Amino acid sequence: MKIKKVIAVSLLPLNVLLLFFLIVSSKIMVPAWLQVPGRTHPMLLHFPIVLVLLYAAWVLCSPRSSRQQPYWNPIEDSLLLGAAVTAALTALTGFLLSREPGYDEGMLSWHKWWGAGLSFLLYGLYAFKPAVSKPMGIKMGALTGTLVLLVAAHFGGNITHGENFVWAPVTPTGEHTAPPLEEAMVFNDVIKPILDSKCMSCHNDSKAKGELILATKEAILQGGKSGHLWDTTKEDLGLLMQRLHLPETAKKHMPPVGKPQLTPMEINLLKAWVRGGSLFDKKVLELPDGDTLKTMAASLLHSAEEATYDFEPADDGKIRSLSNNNRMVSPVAVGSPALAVNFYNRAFYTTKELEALNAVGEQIVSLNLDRMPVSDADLATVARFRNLRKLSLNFTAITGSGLAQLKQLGQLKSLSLTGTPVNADQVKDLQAMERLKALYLWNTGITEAQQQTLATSAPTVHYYYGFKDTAILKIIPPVIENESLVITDPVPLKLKHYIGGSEIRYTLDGKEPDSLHSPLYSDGIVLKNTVLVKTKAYHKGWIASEVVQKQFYRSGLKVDSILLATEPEAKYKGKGAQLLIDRDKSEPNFGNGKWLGYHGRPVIATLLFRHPATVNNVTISMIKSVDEHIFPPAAIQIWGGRDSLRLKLLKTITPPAPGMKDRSKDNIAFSGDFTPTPLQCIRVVLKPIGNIVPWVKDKKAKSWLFIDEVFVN
Amino acid sequence: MLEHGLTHNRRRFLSKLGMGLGSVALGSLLIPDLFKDDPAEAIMAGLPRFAPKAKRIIYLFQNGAPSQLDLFDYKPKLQQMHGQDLPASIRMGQRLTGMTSGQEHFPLAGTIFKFGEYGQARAQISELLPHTASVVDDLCIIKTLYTEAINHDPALTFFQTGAQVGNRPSMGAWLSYGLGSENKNLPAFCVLLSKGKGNGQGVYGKLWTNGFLDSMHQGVQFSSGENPVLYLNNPESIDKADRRRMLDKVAELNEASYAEFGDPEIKTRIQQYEMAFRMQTAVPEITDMSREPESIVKLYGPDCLIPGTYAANCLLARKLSESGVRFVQLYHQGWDAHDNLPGQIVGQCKDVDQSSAALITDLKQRGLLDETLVIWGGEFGRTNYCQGKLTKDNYGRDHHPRCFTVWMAGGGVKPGVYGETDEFGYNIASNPVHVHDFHATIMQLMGLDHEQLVYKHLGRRYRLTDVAGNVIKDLIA
Repeated sequence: MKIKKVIAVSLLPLNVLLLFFLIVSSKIMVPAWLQVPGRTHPMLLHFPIVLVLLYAAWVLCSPRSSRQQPYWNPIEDSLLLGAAVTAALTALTGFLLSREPGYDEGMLSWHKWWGAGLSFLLYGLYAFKPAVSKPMGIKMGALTGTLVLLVAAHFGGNITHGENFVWAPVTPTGEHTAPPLEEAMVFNDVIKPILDSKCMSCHNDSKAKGELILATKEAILQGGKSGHLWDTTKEDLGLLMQRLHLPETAKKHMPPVGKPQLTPMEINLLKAWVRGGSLFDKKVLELPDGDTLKTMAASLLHSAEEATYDFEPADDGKIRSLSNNNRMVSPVAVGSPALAVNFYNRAFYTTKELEALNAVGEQIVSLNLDRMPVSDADLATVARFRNLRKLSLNFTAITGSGLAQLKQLGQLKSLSLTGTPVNADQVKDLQAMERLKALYLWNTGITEAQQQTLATSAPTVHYYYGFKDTAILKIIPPVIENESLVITDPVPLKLKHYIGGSEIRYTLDGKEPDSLHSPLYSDGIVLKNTVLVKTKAYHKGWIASEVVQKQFYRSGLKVDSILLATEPEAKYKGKGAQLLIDRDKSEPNFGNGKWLGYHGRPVIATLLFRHPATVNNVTISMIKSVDEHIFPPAAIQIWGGRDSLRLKLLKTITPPAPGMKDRSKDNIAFSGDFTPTPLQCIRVVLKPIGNIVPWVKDKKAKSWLFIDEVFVN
Repeated sequence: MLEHGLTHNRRRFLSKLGMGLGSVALGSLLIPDLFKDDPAEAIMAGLPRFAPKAKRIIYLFQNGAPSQLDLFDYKPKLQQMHGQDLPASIRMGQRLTGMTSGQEHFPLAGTIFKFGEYGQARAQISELLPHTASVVDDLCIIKTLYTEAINHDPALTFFQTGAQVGNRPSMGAWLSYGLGSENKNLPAFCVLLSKGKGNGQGVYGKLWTNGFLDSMHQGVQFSSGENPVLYLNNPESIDKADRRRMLDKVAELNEASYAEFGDPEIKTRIQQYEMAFRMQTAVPEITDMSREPESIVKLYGPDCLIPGTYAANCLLARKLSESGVRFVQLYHQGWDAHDNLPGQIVGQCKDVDQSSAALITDLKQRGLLDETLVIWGGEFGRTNYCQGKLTKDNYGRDHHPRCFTVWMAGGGVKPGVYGETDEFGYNIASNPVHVHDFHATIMQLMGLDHEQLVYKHLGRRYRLTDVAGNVIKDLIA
């Protein structure tokens, strides 16, 4: 109890000392050794806070019955005494600390007087407690003490942590709303926001750590205790950059450990700014092109061209109810009030479907009605969507007479009218729209001369006329659709062309088709015999196509069996002799297993019928590809008779050797006609050419023969 | 009542139960955004995170890897040093493919094609691409893409899915997942294939897979035959009304089994049946080319009406895109010119030049280019040295991952030429763009943050850019 008494006695001198300090405060110089107790203030202050609150809780909240208990009074007394003495000590140390530089006078003096006031009040409460008998009085005292404590502590907190420290994370910050790039200032809109968010909490008017204030241009230029912030003559650009670049653990690193650090982007911005001469009054766009700061700033700021919307969002449910499979209504981004609307499915569209959008008319910024049967009258509805920026009416049913209604759309920037019959006068009328920047007019009724006049009368609008159909191109050839090249029964010739309105001309006699003599293709042409079909397309405004051709082979009689007297090369024997009579004509690709290949040797094949047949033609299908040494045979002999022992020569064909220019790889066919003869056995002999033509590479090699089919008619 | 999500997955159930409220408090420490808008919810809403520059993508993939050195990246040095060996100091130990690793010499091969300078950016473009050169002012030509893979399949898979091994979702699937479909009558992700005459490389379904994402995000392949979308037509003797009745019944059954099992794939299945039903009307309308004006045929080239050609696919891509298909992926095969490159590349360029440029012109004249991103490029580049025998006017080029050219147009990209390669066209001199960076930038243009669009699978969160990728802001207008 002795200690309690000592403390109680010391209360008076402590408060007197405090009062004395306060009165002569301006004259006091605090020596260095006294700064040490002064700096215990931030630690000590927790004691009075806790003790005052405990005391108040004890006095105000303990049940009435407990007041009669023997322990109640000693505890109440101890709490109050503790609160009073720690408050006095805290106030004294606080006073010592307040004499150190770097604090804002205004905030500090409020804190000082309220803190000292708390100390006096608590001393008073303790000293006059015996005189107060009513519990009500004590309660009032405790309550007042708490209130004074809260006020003093609040000011103290503001000094240490900055104003609104506690609520800042959830207070809507009213973030620095960056102006559009076109107006942005280098310092105010690029550099200052960084200082504000990362440096200002310690370097402001009320708390200037290191005597540095970053609030105004003048203060920044003045620098702090250690000198000016930058020195562009130095390689490291001076103090500011040094401090920012120190390792985070270094004592002098800024911002100090535990405070929000600058991002690399922010450091680079500051660096570029300092290096570029720390400009205060220049616009970003006034910086030279290619300037690092300009490039970085431009990526941070948004151009005024980019839309910002100031209208209220529409009701979520409404948006959802308007969206369906044929009409998409959706915000342009998460949290944006602006809506984009697209229509799909012509069949669904009615004026009503468009009018339904009135419910969100204010929020629509982009509307796409491409290919919908939108009428001129419908544009009255569209004209009510007054925040519309982009409107697309490509290939709609508008005639242009309703366009004037769109002039109400004061925000409209882009209007697409391609594929509609709008005329130059109607478009000229739209030039009155101030914000209109782009007009898409491809495939409309505007002539080239009118395009010139439009361009000169409103140079701020960009007109897009798109592709000019002036080139004259070669049209693609027709397609011969008949797939099977073997005609067993008469089949209709099927030609088609992918581009509508093309003329298809053809020949069946091997001549090149032309637009004068060759017949126009129509349905009903029937292929009966072996024939070479050549066809070519013509189209107004185009160059005539290349010729395409297809060789068809008539196979009137089915051969029952076949024997080969000479074997094909092992690599090219496919499924054997049967191949030649399977009525399957193949592409000229000798490796596909549908061809028999002979290297420097003749082909001798014997075809047999079970019953005698009257034959007047044998056709042999082969490949010609000079560069691969595949040549037509030197001679073809067709023999026939009742059986293999009684054959007589029916026909000899001597194919011409291919010319020097004839080097493509083609199907070739050799057809031998003879007088109709009843036969049961046919022998075909193909003799290879002796020497390869001298103009082919590797001319000493032997020639190849490739054969895939023998047709008998 | 517990959600199905909790009941059908024991691990999830236990983890939810075990952590309870505590997890909310702890979670808010670990995931700072816990109490803000739930990003997953926003994804469910299928909306961009911020105002997008591009709404749709048409990706003209040049499969097999076109030679940047013969098309966009002009290197006179190679012509001067034609036939001399690539200095080792330039190659710097670059890994080689099995096709040239046995080669003793790496003779430099200068292009035999002439280059011209075009447009405001004075971009160098080969004589092989006259139409592309005519739209150069709309192009953002990136000369410095680089990749990690050196063979076709991994490189292609990497470009499409952000990983060299298969089974991750394709870019189109990610965008479908992140942004949803604009037009509910068509899939959000469509795929079109075509083949040139040059040496081709395979294209497989895994390139347009949904991976671990919901199967509704899978790419739908349109083919050139009578049925552009397989199995879409009603079988004979089933008419639309029959089909409708059948679907209603099937949906009832599916709903019943959903009520019992709660598997979300059942809901997806119902939606897919419904979409297929709507596609039965929408697809024939889109694939019908007969209504296109003749000037369009001239613009894209006469091949554009022959189904299955690259030109036809470009035209179809435009029609799909303007009908709200989020991502149209084209593949054109035949660029893999290991030998006889000069011969092969002429044909390939003829296939793609006019119609690629036409697509840009066509979108532009409809006012769609500013919201449609067109991308043209292969899976890697080709070497500056010759594979096989080098002659004065013939050479082949092997695969080269260290630098190659890709162009983009429209959709908010900044026209111009980006990045420079060294004088040998072998290494990047400035402004490299990794495939991950490329993906990140594309997603940015589409209004998505590549770091936020995640999907949790097998215990970890996946992104298209995995754990890498930086948005290249200089590419964005």
